[in-house]
Formats: sequence, structure tokens, C-alpha cells
Amino acid sequence: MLLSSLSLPSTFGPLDWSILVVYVAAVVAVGIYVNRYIAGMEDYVLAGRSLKSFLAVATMVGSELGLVTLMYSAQKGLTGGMAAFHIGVVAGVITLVVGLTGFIVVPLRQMGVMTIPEFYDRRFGRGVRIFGGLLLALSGILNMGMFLKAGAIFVAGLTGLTDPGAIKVIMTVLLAAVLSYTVLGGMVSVVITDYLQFVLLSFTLLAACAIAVSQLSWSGIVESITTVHGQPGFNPFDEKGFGPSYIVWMIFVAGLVSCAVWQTAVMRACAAESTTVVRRLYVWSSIGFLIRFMVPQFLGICALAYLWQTPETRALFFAADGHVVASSDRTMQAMPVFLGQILPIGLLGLVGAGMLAAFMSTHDSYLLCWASVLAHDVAGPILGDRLSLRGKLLLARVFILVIGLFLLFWGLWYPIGQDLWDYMAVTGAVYFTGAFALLFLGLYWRRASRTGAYLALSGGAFAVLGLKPILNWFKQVLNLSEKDLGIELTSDHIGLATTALVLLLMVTGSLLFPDRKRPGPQTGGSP
Amino acid sequence: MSSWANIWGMVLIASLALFTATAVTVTVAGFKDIRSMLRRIGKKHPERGGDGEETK
Repeated sequence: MLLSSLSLPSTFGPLDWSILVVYVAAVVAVGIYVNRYIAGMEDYVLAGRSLKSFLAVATMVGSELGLVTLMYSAQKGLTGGMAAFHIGVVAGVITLVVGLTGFIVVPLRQMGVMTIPEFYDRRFGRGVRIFGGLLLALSGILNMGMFLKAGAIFVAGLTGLTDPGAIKVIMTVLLAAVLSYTVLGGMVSVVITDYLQFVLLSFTLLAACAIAVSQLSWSGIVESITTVHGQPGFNPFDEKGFGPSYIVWMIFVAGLVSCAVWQTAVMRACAAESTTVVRRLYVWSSIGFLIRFMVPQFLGICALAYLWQTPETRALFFAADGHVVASSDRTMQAMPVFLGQILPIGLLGLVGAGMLAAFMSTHDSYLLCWASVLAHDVAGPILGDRLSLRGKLLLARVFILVIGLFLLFWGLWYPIGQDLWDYMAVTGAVYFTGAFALLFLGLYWRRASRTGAYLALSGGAFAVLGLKPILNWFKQVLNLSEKDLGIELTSDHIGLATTALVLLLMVTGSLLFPDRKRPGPQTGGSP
Repeated sequence: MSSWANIWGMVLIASLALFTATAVTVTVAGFKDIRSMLRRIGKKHPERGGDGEETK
């Protein structure tokens, strides 16, 4: 994990540690306190469908602006320069379009479903629900597999702690704290802790940006990017940097999927009071979706400027040819190390508390989300009426604990080998490429059939080829080189190809094997 | 290169301004929404969360 190989002194002191401990304890106490409001699955998963606009915005941004988002976005800013800003811009614009048009999310809310697999059930039948739910949960759990690692790297970089054992203990305690209040309080505690995190993180991030710019100056930042990245560090269309195919992949992943297909975001739409609130939620959240990429990317860019300009750190983060080092673990450390160097005592503790709160809020939302899907959409339909409401709740809580244990182990041994954001996009794509086809065509094309749905969901598995270790293994087995292929295969090529494939499978399967009885989307919930 | 830097600079300033406005608005209004949410859930289950203060 390279945690012990960087021993840069940080200004993180006793005051900062106190702020951090008090804040985390307070969040856990609030989370546990609201357990008294939970009486059933709808309260537990959707907070009784009583989210109003501003709280919905806070919780949606709070969940999506997690520590992992901050880490991978800062890493993208470091490795891609200002050109990485295109990711935030497309995310904001597409979320705004979804809010204005209601694309996918409004019909889903009108149906009154709790999860996306529940939509599969109504539209394509129970089998698709179970298969889609299992795929969604597995992909989602794999997707959050690197959260703990990113959190540990952040703690090490910010606090200057070099003992890997101490960091593992801190991360385990934090995970245990999240598990305790999520298991007990469900969505109500998630919503309230997300709100607290939103407030703290918003203001500390703004303060960190102001201090970074005042110390480095805009011209100093631009000059450093020019030296390290050149033109590709500014122009996202430059093939030597991101290139057009990456931008199209981002329009799909960071834009459409993040807000309208990814279960954790869709859960907020399902929990909203009405479709009017859904639209308002997305219009307002478009700012959050823009910011969640841009602000941390900017901090990553500032880290680049600072680490490049400081002789002691230049050799740690840059290769001899002046480019950023290829190690993903090392580039993830840049932003926290940078913050640990420039922020004053006190503010450092607040930023640390805000970031760890972000770590906790993403964990709680995701744990709740995947455990609910497993209990509600996989175990529930399989066990049928034999599973009582109480049994479903208990099962969801058991799944939360099991997923938590998996995260502890996966985060420690998987060699990531690529930017964290690309790892997230690929693992998510296993589910969301198929889910997009089912949602889009299931909601807007009457001829979409069950066979087409099965084929599309299965086709999404091709996305795993985008993971660097698997792609390298695949090339080795088939004895393929970049020269044979004609292009350098990257995760965006594989993601786009998988998306095209699942849409093709869905359309072909539906035309060749139409359903005898077409259920069609039904509106069952309150408007 | 400088034109791209200028564009990104303007986008960044606009984003930070929007973020500041959103943070202030959502902080104030979100707190009211939390109280309303707890009151509503409390009313549904008076025996659990709906003690006097929350349901009144």
C-alpha cells in the first residue's frame, strides 16, 4: 500500500485529532439515536419516502461527494491536469438534462418501486429481478472494494502517520462505526449523517481551495501543468491525453449512469416525496455532480503544482522524464499529502473530519443500498412469503455485516494497477451497461422482452475486461499485442464496446423472442 | 494552451460560486427538512419516534 514509504511531516496535531474524534463520535451517536424511528422496510430503506427537496439534495450530494470521489477525482486532476475538468462538466450538464426532462427517474418514481431490480420484476418478471439484483449487488460491492484502501491512503497522507498497523486500526474502527449506525438506523440515519457531512465538507473544501490558490497562484498552477502535461493537460480532445472516446465514455458514466442508473442515486429519486421533488432534486444536484468532480480535481491539480515546485517531493511523485509516476497508490497520496503540508492546525482537523465523514457517509449509503438489494430483490423473491418483514430487516442487517467484512479483505490485497476512477467505472459497468439497456428500453420501448433483458444483463460481464490485470491476462492468453490490435485498448474502449453490445443484445433478443404477455411499466406509487 | 486555461478558469470560478450558494441554501433549508422528516415518521409510528415533541 506504500503507506510507510512516504514519511513527509504533516502539521496534523493534537487539536486536529480531537476535532476528528469528537466529530466521528457525534455522527455515530446521531446515527444510532434515530434507530427509534425505524418500524418497517420502507422506513429502513427509503426513510418512509419523506425526503423533501433540500434534504434530498444534501443527502444525494453527501453520498456522491464521498472520500473516494475526492480521492479519485484528485488523482485524475493530478494525472490529467485541467483537461480532467471535462468529467465534472459533462456530469453536471447531463444531471441537469435528466432533471429537466425527468428521463428514466420520473417514470421510475411514478411506478413506486424501491430499487431498480423491483422495476425489472414489474417489467420483465421475477427471474430478471433476481438475476439483475444479484448482478447489481456483486458489481456494486466490487465497486466499493477500493473504498477502504483509498480511505487508508488519505489518513496516512493527511496525518503523516507512517505505521500501517495504526492506520488499519483506524480504518477498521471507522468501518465498525459506520456498520453500527447503518445496521440500526437505516436510511433515516444515512440521511441525517449525509446532511452533517454535506455541511462540514462543503465549507472546508471551499476553504481548502481558497488557501491553495493563495499559496500557489493561478499562474504558478498553469505553469506547472504546462511543464508536466503540456497541451494534453488542458485540451481534453487531445489523443495524447483523454481523447474523444474517453469523453464519450464519461458522458455515459459520469453523466447518465451516475445520476439516473446507479442504484445509490436512483434510491434518492425513489425516496423523494413526489415527482416534482425528483425533478427539483436533479436540477439542484446537477451543481453537486459538477462540483464533486471539479473541486477535488482542482485540489489534485494544486497538489501537482505544489509537489512539482517542492524539491523534496518532486522525486517522490514525478519520474525522471518529468511525467507523473505510473503508480496508482502513489498518485492517490498526492492530495492528502498536499493538504497535510499547506493547511493550518485546526482547519486540518476540520478537513480531516469532513473527509472521514465523507468516507463514512459513502460507506453507509452503499452498504445499505447493496444489502437492501440482496435482501429485497434476491433473497426476498427466492424465499417468497416465507420471509416476514422482520426477517427481511434482519437479513439486510446481516448482509451489511458480511459486505463490511469482504471490504476489509478485498481492499488489502487487490493490485489496482490503474487510476481509481477507471477501476470504479469498469467494475460499475458490469452492472450498469445492462441496467441502462433494461431501464431505457424497458421504460420507453414496448417491445423490450424478458429474453432481451437476460441477454443484455449477461452481456455486461464483458466490461470486466476493462480491469488492467484482467485485460493483461486476456492479452497474454490470446497472445495479442497493441500492434496486432491497431490501437492501445483502454477501459473506455471496452466500456463503450460493452454498452453497444448490450443494447444490440437487448434489441435482437426482444425482436427474436418477444414476450407472449407484455406487462409494461405500471404506476403503482404515489405521484 | 492559454485559451483552454482561461476557459477552465472561468468554469472553475462559476462552479465554486454555485457551490457556495448551494452550500448555504441547502444547509439552512436542509435542517428544516430534517425536522419535518422526523415529525412525519414519528406521526406514522407514535409508539416509536412519535413522542410528544416530535408529533406536535
